[in-house]
Formats: sequence, structure tokens, C-alpha cells
Amino acid sequence: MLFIGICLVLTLKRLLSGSKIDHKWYIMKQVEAIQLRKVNDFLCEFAASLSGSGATAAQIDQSIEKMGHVYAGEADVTILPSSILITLWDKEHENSYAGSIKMKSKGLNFNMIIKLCQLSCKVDSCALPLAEAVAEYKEIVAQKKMNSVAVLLLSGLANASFCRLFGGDIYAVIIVLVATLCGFYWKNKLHAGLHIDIRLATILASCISAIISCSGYVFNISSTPDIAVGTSVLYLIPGVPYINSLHDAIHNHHVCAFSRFMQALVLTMCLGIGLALAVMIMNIAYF
Amino acid sequence: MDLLLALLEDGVLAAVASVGFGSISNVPYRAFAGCAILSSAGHMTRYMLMNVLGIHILGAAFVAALLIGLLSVPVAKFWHVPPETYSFPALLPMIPGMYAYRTVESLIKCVANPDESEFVHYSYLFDYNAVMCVMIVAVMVIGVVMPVVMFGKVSYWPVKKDKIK
Repeated sequence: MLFIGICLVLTLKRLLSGSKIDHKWYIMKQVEAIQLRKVNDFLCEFAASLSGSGATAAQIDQSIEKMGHVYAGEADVTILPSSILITLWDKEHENSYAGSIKMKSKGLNFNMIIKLCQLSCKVDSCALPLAEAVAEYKEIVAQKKMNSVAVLLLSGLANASFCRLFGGDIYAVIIVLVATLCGFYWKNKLHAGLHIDIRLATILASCISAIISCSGYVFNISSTPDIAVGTSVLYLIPGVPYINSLHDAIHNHHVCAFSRFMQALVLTMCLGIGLALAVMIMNIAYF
Repeated sequence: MDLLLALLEDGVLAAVASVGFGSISNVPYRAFAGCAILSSAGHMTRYMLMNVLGIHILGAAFVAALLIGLLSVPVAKFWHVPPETYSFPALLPMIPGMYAYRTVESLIKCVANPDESEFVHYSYLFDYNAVMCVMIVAVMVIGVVMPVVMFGKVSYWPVKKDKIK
């Protein structure tokens, strides 16, 4: 809008000075403005998808800068906790277009990050036309995630492995496997299915897992019931956000780093609250 | 022999944990093998350093993460994906979940025990676990990022036209 306004002012100035309107120049500038806007809209969507999938700030920065260089002249990216701002400059660095987009949290998706990064590289190395890049982007975003049953089983096995790594016996491992399968299923059901807030879903999932893992104490079936209770909720620890936050801090994206760290910390607190609730409900001498 | 078996068990369990936690982050199927190998190598190195050489968890985590970072560079170049795709899921089994969990546990105990001496004790535990948790994640990330920084812009790998599917 600012750019179109400048164009109008310049046109008026020419009219007032008595010179003839250079129609060709005017149309060219209008086309440039529309092109900048189109590119900016695409880059904003692209950045929001990357961020929502759990990409690091450095990955978002690099992808957008490379594509901005191909389609316009230069792109400045500002990543804030809840939105992304992109300012696009033309090749002469005379005119700019600024746009912003709200973050869309779609859950961690490394597959999407890989494909979006590959698309940005393809744009950079092959100078892919904008229309083709947009079509490919839409294709990538529409792709489905991994089968939820497979994810459930794999995460259950992963947490059971964790229990063994921490020295749990075979009964504790089985208890943790069952507790994780139930807790993770309910977390997905509550958050993805019923759209309940992720923090509340984490508290409930942690509580469910911890209650099931208390069976080691209740039925006296394991020699390491404390390890079973402790590790049964570890699948809820937000590992990738913790890594991302430190990664962002190293790359000087401190606002983004702090925001991600706080989000991860809140989820860890929710996990603890769920565990404490379970221990209180089961009335075991765990704490 | 016992050490070898323990080391093997550690590697296999870390690989399972890496693939399992990676699947929550929707890591593509073709990256599973890479994640498992990197995770096993890292976790076994940490196990060796901590249990055989008696190195502190911070140093051991740093060396293990450095190894994961070093291995992720050629693996990522081979598959034409960012190194983070392999290195981050491989780091997940080394995330100090127990320290994070004990931090919250000590905080709950602080609230539950109004007695001054117990409160001070659990405050100390809270501080210790929180600091350890942050420090371990920090050294792990530094370790994994260092090779990528050292070997130039490999993290933003060049994609040849004929290799793009």
C-alpha cells in the first residue's frame, strides 16, 4: 500500500509539473508493486508453515532470504513469538513491501521442513517460476503425516527403551509401554481430536500415564516401580523445542529462543502437575 | 564382555528411542536408519565416557553430540537433507528428561514441605536439576552445531537440478 501511495504521489508530481504522464513507466511500477506483494504473501505463508512445523529460526531466515533474492531483491525476516514479519525490497533497493503473518502451530513435522527447505533450494538453484513454486508448496503442505497407529506404537517402544536405559526391570518396561500407549493415545485424542489446549492435554495425559505406571507400587509387580513412574511421562518432555530454543540462541535469535524455551518449560511444568495429581490420587509414597 | 554387552544394549535402546521419539516429530521413514545409527553412536560414546572413563555428564554429552554433529554432515550431504533432520532426533534420547522431571518434582516438594530446612534442601535440588538440565541441552546443541559451522554452509546444502525429485 505504501508503495502504491508513493507511485500515486510521483504521478501527481509529474502532472503538476506539467510534464506528460509516462504511461509505460507507470504501468511498469504498478506491475512491480503487484509482483512484490504476491511474492511477499507467498514468503509469509512459507515462513509460517516452516515455523509451525518446528524449523529453527536459522532455517526460516535462510530459506526466505534465498527465495526473496530470486523473486525480488532482498528479504528481511523478523521472527517474533507469535508472528513473522517480512520486508521485501526490489532489486534497485528503492521500493519495499512489508507483510506479516500469524504463526500456525501444526505440530512438529520434520518431513515438511525437509521438503520446504528443498523447495527453497530448488528456487535458489533453478530459479523456479513463482507459480510453480506456489503449486509445489501447496502440494507439500497438503501431505499427510505418518500413520497415527505406527507413531503410537513407536513412541511406546521408545519410552519403554528409555525405562530400560534408566535401569528399569522387565516388568517396569512393560508397565511403561502400556502407560505410554494409553497416555499418548489420550493426548492425541484430546488435543488433535477434541481441540483441547495442549497444556491441559499434557496434564491429563501425564496423569493417565502416571496412574497406570503406579501399578508397580499398587500390585507390587516390579522391583523398580519408582523408575516406571518416573519414565512413564518422559515421552511428554518437549525435546525438540528445547533443542530449537538453544539453537536459536546460538544463532542470535534471542526473542524466538526465549519464547520457545518458555513454551517448553510450561509443558514440562504441566507434565509435573499431571504426575503430582496421579500420585495424590493413587496415594503412594512417591514424593 | 559385560561391558560390550552393556554397550550394545545401550546402543540398541538409544536407536529405538530415537526412532520412536523421531516418529512423533514426523521424521520421514527413509531417515529412520540414519537417526538410529547416529543416536546409537552418540549414546554409546556417552556411555563409554561416563561409565568407563568417569567423565562428567556435561563433557560426555558434549563429545557425544559433537560426534553426532560430525556424522550428520556426510549423511545429510548424501541424502540432500538438512543435517538437523538426523542430528535432532538422534539427540532426543540424550535430552536430560530426568533432570527436567526432577526439577519439577523438587518444586512440588518445596511447596509440599513448609519446614525451613526441607524447603532449603528441595530448593537446592530444584536449582541443581534446573541448571544441569539447561547446561546439558546447551552443550549438546553447541556440540551438534559446531561441525555444521566448521564445515561451511553444509546445513544449507546445494541442490543440483537433476537430484531434485
